[in-house]
Amino acid sequence: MSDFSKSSDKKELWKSLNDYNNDSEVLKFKHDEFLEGVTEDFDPSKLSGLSRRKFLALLSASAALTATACTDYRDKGEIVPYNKRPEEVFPGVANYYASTCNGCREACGILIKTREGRPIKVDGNPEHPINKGKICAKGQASILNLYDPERLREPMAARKHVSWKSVDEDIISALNEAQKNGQEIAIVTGVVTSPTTKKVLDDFTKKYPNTKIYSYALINDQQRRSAWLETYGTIEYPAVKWNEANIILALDADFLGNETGFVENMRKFTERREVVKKTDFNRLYVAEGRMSATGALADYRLRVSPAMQFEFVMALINEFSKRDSALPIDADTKAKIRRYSLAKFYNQVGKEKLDYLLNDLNINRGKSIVYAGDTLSKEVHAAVNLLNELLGNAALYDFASSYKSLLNLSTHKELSQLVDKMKNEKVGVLIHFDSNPVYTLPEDLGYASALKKVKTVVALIEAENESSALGNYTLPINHLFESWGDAYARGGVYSLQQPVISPIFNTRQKEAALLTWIAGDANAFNQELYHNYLMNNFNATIYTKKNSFADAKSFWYSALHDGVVTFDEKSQTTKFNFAAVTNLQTKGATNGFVLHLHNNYYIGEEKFANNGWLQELPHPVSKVTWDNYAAISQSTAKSLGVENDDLIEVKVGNKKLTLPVLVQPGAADNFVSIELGYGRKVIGEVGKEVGFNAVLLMSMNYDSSPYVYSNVSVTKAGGKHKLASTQEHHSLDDTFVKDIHRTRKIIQEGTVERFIKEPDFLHKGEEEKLLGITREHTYTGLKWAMAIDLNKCTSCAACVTACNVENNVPVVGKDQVANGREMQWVRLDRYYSGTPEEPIVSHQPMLCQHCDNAPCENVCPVNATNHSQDGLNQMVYNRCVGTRYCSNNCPYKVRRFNFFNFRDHFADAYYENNLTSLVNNPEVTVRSRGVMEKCTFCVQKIMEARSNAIRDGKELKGSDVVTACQQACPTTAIAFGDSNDPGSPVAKLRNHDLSYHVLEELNVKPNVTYIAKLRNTHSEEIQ
Amino acid sequence: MSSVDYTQELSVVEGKQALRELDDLIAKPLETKPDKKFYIALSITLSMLSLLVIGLGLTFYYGIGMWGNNNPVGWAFDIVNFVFWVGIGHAGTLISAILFLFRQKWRTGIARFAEGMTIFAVMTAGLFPLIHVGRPWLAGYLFPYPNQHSLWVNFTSPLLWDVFAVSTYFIVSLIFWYVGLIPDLATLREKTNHKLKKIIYSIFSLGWRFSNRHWQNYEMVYLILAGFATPLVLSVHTIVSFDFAVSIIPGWHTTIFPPYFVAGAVFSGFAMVQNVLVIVRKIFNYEHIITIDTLEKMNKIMLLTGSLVGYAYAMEFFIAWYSGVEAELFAFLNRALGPYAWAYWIMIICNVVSPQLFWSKKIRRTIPVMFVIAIFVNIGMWFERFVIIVTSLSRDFLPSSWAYYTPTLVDGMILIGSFGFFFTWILLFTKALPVVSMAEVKAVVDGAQPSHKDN
Amino acid sequence: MNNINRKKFFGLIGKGTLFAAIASAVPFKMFSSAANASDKKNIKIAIHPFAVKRNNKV
Repeated sequence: MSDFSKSSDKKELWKSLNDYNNDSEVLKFKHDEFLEGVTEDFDPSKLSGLSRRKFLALLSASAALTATACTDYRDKGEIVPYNKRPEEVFPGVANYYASTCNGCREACGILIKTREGRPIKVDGNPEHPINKGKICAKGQASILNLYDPERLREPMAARKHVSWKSVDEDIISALNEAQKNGQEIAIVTGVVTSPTTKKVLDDFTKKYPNTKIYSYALINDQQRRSAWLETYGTIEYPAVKWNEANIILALDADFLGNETGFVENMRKFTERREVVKKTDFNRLYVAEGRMSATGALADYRLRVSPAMQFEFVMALINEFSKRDSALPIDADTKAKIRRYSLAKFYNQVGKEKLDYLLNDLNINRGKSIVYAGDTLSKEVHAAVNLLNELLGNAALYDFASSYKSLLNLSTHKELSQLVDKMKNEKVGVLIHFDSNPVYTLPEDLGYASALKKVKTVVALIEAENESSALGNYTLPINHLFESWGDAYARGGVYSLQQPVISPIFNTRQKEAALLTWIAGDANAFNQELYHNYLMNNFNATIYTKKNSFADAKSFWYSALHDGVVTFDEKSQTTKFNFAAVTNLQTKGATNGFVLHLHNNYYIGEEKFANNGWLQELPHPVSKVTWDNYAAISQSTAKSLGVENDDLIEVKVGNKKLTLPVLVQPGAADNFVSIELGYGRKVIGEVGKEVGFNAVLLMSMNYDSSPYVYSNVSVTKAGGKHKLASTQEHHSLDDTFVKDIHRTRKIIQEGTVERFIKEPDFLHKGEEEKLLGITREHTYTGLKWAMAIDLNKCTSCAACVTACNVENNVPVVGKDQVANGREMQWVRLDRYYSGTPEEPIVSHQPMLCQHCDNAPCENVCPVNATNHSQDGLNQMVYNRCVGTRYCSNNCPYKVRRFNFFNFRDHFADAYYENNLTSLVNNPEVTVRSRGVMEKCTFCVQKIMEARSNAIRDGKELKGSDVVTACQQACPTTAIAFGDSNDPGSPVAKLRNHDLSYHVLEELNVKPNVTYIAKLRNTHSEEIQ
Repeated sequence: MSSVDYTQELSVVEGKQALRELDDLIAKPLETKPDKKFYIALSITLSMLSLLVIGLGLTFYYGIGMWGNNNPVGWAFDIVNFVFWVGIGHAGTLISAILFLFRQKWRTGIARFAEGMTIFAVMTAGLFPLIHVGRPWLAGYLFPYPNQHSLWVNFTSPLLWDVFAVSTYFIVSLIFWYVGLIPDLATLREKTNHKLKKIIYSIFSLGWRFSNRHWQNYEMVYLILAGFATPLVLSVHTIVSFDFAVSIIPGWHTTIFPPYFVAGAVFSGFAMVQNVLVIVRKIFNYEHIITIDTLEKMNKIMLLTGSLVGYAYAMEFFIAWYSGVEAELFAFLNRALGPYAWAYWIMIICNVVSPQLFWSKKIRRTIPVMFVIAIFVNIGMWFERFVIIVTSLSRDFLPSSWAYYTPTLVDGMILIGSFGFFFTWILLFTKALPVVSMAEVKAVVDGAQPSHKDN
Repeated sequence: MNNINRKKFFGLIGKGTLFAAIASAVPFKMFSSAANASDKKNIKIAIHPFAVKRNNKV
């Protein structure tokens, strides 16, 4: 090719003559790629290093990274499905396990519901013949104890964490030393209902023969057992066939409220208060000093102070002996009882009532029962046994189902001896075996100070308490749900405890700890130590007794499955020992006040004081939460010059206690009653310093009963202590607000006599149905409704607690309750009518009525509440902004507003921790702050039943759904189902003569029907 | 014995002041630097405002639980304050719009200020629906925003009607007020030499040239807006009263509420306006523009509306008894005799008794006395809302849910803070914009409207 | 003499923001995930191996 630089060659292509001539300028021009000046600004160093390729790479990389950054602060993490699913677990499907409750000595059978391995609900075990699928409020709430953030997690020695091994070694050597030195080894425990635990204790005693077992409970039935031993020769007293009693006289006996076997008692009692089946109503006379839950249900209430009960019973016996000479009382006894006269009681009680009582008991011989409470003295119980025997009421004793005693309660003498030995350093090792004697024993015993003289004090407990605080070793034990065990509390019934969850923390079964020490070697322990021991004991005792076809293993598994094994128990025939009652007498009541100490309703002796749900349950009569108080009558309060919340000082001998007053209508005059179990000093944050410790008033030297004291002085102490009550207290004398619940027909009641005469008396003469001005919405298909039978409601609050657990209702604490912000979706309203001395008490469970014409639905500005096609008033939490208009417009005030986030930014976020948040039911939203909530008729259960029905290809029936409250109610007072199904119990109750709606005239069309309570008095009018 | 000559129309502005002098007088606060008194006043209102900020901060962080509200009293200070402030706003609109339509020339001295107060009162009031909700960050749910769920707000709820009513009221009042400001802003634009102010006034006066065409359009728009605003005086507080009247609670569920609330709103609004004007006219030397006659006329309106309110109280009681509905009668007896009787009787004394003093002409024309009476009226009107809201909720149908409401410190902080909020705006207003309408006042000065009669 | 003009300045700011946003995504996600939110000791729940269940709710 030609070289263009050569200027002389001929060209083939040229653009201009200059080009053709290879002008130097043109050549220069051609040499430069760009024109002059074009590239002046071009500076390669200033070019962006980003090439197109690089740009695209960067773009895609940042897009990918941004996608990973798409986190929401509300992101709760990922849910990853199982690769290999454990056989037991279906995510979303609950498992149920049978076990036995250990909240009190009743040992009711329970069913524990777990989700994804976590227990979330406790209900009764329907297989258990005693409680038949029902448990009390304490049992319902016991689940929170498993998730108590202040549970002990590690063994401690001298307040420091140590290992189990070192503790075991220390204690074993201490035990051996004590044994060698001839010192006593004391085990202090509560009431032992477990035969296998008893066996462990026996084995322990075999291994260390210096061991002595002491059994003591703050609330015990020792008086009753002593009386039964003397009068019938057995300490195992029978159950009462309440359902066969026409007349019941309860003497300071809260048999429907919190005493021995009350869950079963409630069921049996209300069998005779059926209005639907129109049974023979029983008649309940309650003679008591305080207003108990049972007293609130009485048809006739007699104000008799517990110090006068002995005289009262003897006076009744006297009356009967006068009227009926055929009674088997010998002349000698007759002469002695002559001096007891009923005339003494005419003033306080009224002659008319006493005449009714005598007459009723007389007519219904052999079909009635006189029953004394646990806190009354042995003499009263003996007298009551005599009276029942004379009236032939022994026929109502059910000895087949008697109350067993596996380990005798220690007498006061034995306990004093123990304390003496402790003081003299004759006790080498003392083991607090799930007990708290420092708190429960009377102070004048000197137990706490004697404890200092014991070299080794060991506590086996779930949570720190007063006794463990004074000990050397504090050893955490398994919660019930982590424990093996059994119970033999009632004749013919043996129930089993099985763990549903592996121990969450480094805890051990308390029996297993003992077994390790029995073995004498720390390495003897393994997780199944007690499990195997229990199985062996079971095989040796129950399996052999039952003589079953199945092999031992299958039998064991089926027993665990059912939770209970029943067997025939030979009921011993007993004869009444008249000799025991010939010389009965007690010290009469003298001047001054009478003090009655009795069991509380919801926090038990020891276990439940740190349980927020239970502390927040309003007292069944006074509606006070988070406290106990001194209940006195109105006239007593006036004479002392005190009102509610004022502090008084109660002085028994040289013991005193200052606590607030509650004016209790219906209480006896010059009488103070205080609940035990409060005022705990060593306990978690929730229970600390809640209430006042009335054990400080108890004494080893009591007149007749450790719970009743005379010659008590009560003075005004000055100052106040605010009691947080969920209801306002109005004096029954305040005519401005008196009986509004009757005039507004919130509570409608009648008497049995009236009902028999005129079954339709409740609605007779009422005007036409209310007219609506809008077109009514018709509900075809399933329509949910509820009916509550007020004849059966005893205000036991099992429903309230069950609802709390099921629906993740928060605990708000005393201050918030005082400000009316308790969050319970269902509440038990209590109304008084009558006079302050003779009040008539009415209970009413109140929950969202799911009104067809709901006033709340119209006024929500954001449509957060509306009505479903199956009749539910729905609450949409995520839409609610919290204007609270719906709550304002609700005439029943059943809507609850989350004034705070009760878990966070509140109370140091006590409930916002890993452990406690596990108690939540995953089916129910946990509501945030600022959101309104209320009863949903357990919509989560309805949805579950609906999806099951769809899966099974069936129609959803009303009977498929059981709400939490309905399931929990021990008297089946709550019926729930399809009101559009004429055959359903709910529909039948809606059409009952005694049915009514609360505030019906507002035309909100509530779907909760109440069945009016009938009182069985000798008149047609309610007095 | 009056020395008033009823044969001649009262001169609205006393003395024959030159128009230019009027301009200067009214514009003076805008041209002078704030003096010590202003700063003292501002520091007081700002510290009150800071209480509001702290109170709201605590409420937002912890929740409505910081207030005293409980079950059953779901609404307390929050809604009482809301209704109170909305009520105060009504005076302004009545003066600006209704009195305009009635051709009451004496309104000119006070219309601008009153309308400004309305706007600030509505702003203050508007805080409360937003902050009283449990989840204020979701307050947007109250508005019908577009979404994919076909989800509308609930139009049957009075709270939602409030949302529309109050926001409409605010917007219309704002526009009305602004339109009235245009000629004045133009005047200020001409007067001022300050560079920044000139720019601002120029922008906001929208190029007003004082031309005949402008004036004609202005008069027409003003008239139409006055017509728009007039029904709002009646409707807004009627809607607010529906919050209560539409519910079923005894003490709330009564048809007397709409007129009763409107009368009460005008009553308390005038009292507040009168209070502030008494101070303003003294400080700025507007005594001959905001004359005693004007104040007297305002007092007469207070007497009228106060009597209406007193009549309504009596009627409520009568109807409660006459209806035979036990719950209704109880609700009213409870107000007078129950635990909140102290609030009730404060209300009666302040609302029914004190305005009756205005029958006396001497009292109507005495500044210190009328000032105190107006303060009492405001206290009484606040307590009226308190009595209506809190006592009715505290004891409604079921005695088991009765409870007493006690306000907390945070409630008090927010209440005081709302006053701080309101007065801060007013103070700033006095320094930023003319508190008297220059154009309108100049139009009613003696000799401003030449006619044949004058000769 | 760092002659940085407006365009470059804002470009730099923008790049910085973009980088910061992306770079903080991964550690942010790590720190805010639910597992970390709990206080380091997670409660281990395990069904007890010897529990005998019944599933038909009577």
